[in-house]
Amino acid sequence: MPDVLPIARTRYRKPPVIERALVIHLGAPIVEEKFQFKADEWRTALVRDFPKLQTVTEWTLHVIEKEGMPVLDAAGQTMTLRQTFWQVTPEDKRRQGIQLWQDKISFNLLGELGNPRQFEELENLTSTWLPRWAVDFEVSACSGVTLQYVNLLSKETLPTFFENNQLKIGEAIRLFGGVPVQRNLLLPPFDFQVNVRVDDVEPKAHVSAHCLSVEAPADQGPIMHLRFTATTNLGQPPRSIPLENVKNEGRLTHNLIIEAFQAYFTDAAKATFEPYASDSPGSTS
Amino acid sequence: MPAIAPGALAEAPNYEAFRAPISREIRLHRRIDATVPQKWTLTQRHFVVGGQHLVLDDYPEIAVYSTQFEFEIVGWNVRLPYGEQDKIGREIIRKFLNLHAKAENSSLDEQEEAEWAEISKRVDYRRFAIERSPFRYVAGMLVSRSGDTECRVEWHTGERERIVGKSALAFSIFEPDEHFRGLARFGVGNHLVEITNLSPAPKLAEEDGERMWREWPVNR
Repeated sequence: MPDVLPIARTRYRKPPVIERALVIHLGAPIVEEKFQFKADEWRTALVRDFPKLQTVTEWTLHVIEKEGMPVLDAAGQTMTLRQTFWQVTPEDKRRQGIQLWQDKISFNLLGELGNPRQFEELENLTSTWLPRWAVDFEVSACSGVTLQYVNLLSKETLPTFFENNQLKIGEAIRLFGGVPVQRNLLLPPFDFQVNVRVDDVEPKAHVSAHCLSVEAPADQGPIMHLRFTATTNLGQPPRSIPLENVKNEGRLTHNLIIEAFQAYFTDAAKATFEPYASDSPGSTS
Repeated sequence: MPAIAPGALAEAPNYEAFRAPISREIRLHRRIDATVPQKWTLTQRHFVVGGQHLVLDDYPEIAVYSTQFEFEIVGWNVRLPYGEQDKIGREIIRKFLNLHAKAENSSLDEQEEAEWAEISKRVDYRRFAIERSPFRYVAGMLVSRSGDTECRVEWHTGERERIVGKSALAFSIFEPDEHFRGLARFGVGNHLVEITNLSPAPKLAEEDGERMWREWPVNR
């Protein structure tokens, strides 16, 4: 059993985090027949704890050029059905859940404004259901984990950075602070992706920050999701590690995301997320 | 020291639970003919609903009729409204079992006859027949056990089989070298699918069989 890593603490009551997902990857997908049988069993086995079942369709478009014209090519177009299981609030909002793929499982924790949920809750959800998945789907090893936090950048989470429906993004996100123009003239879209290799941790990891606009009514101003993703699912051939390591790799990726969060947001933005006093026992992750 | 990662994907994978739609623009230089269905391949050949299993030989095609807000499982004569993709497996199994039952009773009408001819070609029928075979009496010995979910048994035929999962759990009442009997169902490759009514059994030696044969009333 590896030594357990401590969980890095952040210091905010109201960070803009609205969702956290921990993904455990398999080096090779579960054989389709076994996977479909077990997924069918889970539909009844999990119904008490996760009463809302939802099948999600993933579509893959394939556009090719034929005689100089773009054509949707049926040969490369696929649809995949994915089973998801959710706990919901009395208002029918998803609280937390599990998503199944043949080559991975994801544990999702959904928050909302003012209720970012905690990493420890995600850890509890995982520690309860990962062993059950391992037994039922006959899995004993994985190739790494991916942790993803979704931060909502909007009028609601960054109210002091909006002026005339425009987001003064240069004052909230450090990356834009260095753009050599007058900062408050920056206009959306503010979409970007930055990928960073982290070699000085064990196991090695990648951390990415991916900001993209989401659809919103025009009078709302720009709304974006800033996704921080940290993964240890690296290397070819895939790593093979016991599932007991998931806890530590989950904590490692959480700590890397906390670092990224601290680095991307400006001090002015972080001040609006209501910092705890640094020695406060209430400071959480 | 962190470094910008080379060769990263342009679009990072996303595990978010679909909180808000994110639009992607694809520019085409002519209109897509909405009367022509768009075809997609479903990345699934095994359909399991309530333990009923059907395997198709090929991945099924789905034709989307955007003007009618419907999609069709190509070759199955099954149409469903938008948003009911979760019913694809159920409808495939229902259609097959309905036609199969009618075919067994020779009660297919002309249209169903044509559908059955088309659909039966798409299904792994041998597999279907094996999996619907009834339980049969078996006897054997538990050779070894590793936890509750993995064990090795020797059947009365002398064949040995590694058993995992729920079936292995059924053997957890036995110790290695103990004999058992029960009712079992076997699947492709004669591998155990399900076992029930397990109970301890005395060891059957070869001489027991010979003695039984000698003592059989007609052989006395």
